Amino acid sequence: MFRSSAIRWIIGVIVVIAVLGLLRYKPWQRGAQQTAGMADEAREKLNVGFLPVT
Amino acid sequence: MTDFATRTSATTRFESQRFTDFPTIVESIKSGRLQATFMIAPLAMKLREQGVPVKILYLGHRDGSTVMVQKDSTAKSLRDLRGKIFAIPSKYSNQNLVINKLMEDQGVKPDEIRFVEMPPPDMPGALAAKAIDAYFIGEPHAARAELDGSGRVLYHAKDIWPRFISCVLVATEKLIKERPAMVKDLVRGIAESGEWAETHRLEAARVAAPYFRQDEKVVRYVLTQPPDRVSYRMLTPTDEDLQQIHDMALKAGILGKPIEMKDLIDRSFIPADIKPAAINVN
Repeated sequence: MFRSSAIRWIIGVIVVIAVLGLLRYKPWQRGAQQTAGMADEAREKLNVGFLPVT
Repeated sequence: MTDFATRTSATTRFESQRFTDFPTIVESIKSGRLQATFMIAPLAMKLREQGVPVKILYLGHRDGSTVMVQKDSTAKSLRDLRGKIFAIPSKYSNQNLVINKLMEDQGVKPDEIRFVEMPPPDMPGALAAKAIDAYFIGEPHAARAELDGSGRVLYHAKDIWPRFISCVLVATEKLIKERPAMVKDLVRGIAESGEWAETHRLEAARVAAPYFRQDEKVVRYVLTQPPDRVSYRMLTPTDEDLQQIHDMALKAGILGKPIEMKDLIDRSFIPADIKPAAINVN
């Protein structure tokens, strides 16, 4: 398989770029964040006033 | 407190809305833009007297207010502040009522000290600039003057009035009627996070400092020097506590007519068993 060294190099570079891309954008975390964000948005919001004094 | 309430509520996201003065809080409540807030106890009574349908649900804390004088002042009691300028957060504050009571106890006439109302965050700077001679305020605005070397403690509130009440949690009757589960989550969140803060003071300082927009060192000082400077226990508002404030407010002319405690207080949202919140600050 992949007798040509050029093809091996190209495939190697593509794999490295793909792995770096995955590590950079962390798609598994984005999914979780979107789910959490959607759950957060679905909840009602209540503002609670305070003055920064005990 | 509201962050913890949010994490433990299945239905509501509680967001802290920071104000810098009490009149703006009052206007926000009256206009309906704000339905729950912490505010000074006599002000909540004044709103009720004016026909604004609010109820006191819980206390924010106990003690935690301090009378500060200039570092080089020789004053040992309120008597020594005759002829001086004394800042209070509002005439509707419990600090004002307590100082009036202390003046009476010490034989100081009402016109012998000049009181000025001032937003709490401005007080340490005014003391440092010698624009005022003393002030009485909730923390951390007293500790700030202590730490920057411009002020010293004349009285801690707990020394004048043990288990002193300053801020209370107030909600509109509309919110209570239409969203009881939301109100219950809020009160429970505040109660449980207060119980946690009582026994995790260093961690609580780290959590609270960004909300107060203060250096963590200042908040840590407030929560530990001395450890009973502010308390987050016994936060159920009793009729006796609030009746005492009410009577003083009537006497001082802040309230024009009596208010029934049953119309003012709603304790039905306070959990029977208050467990410390499971807060992990790491």
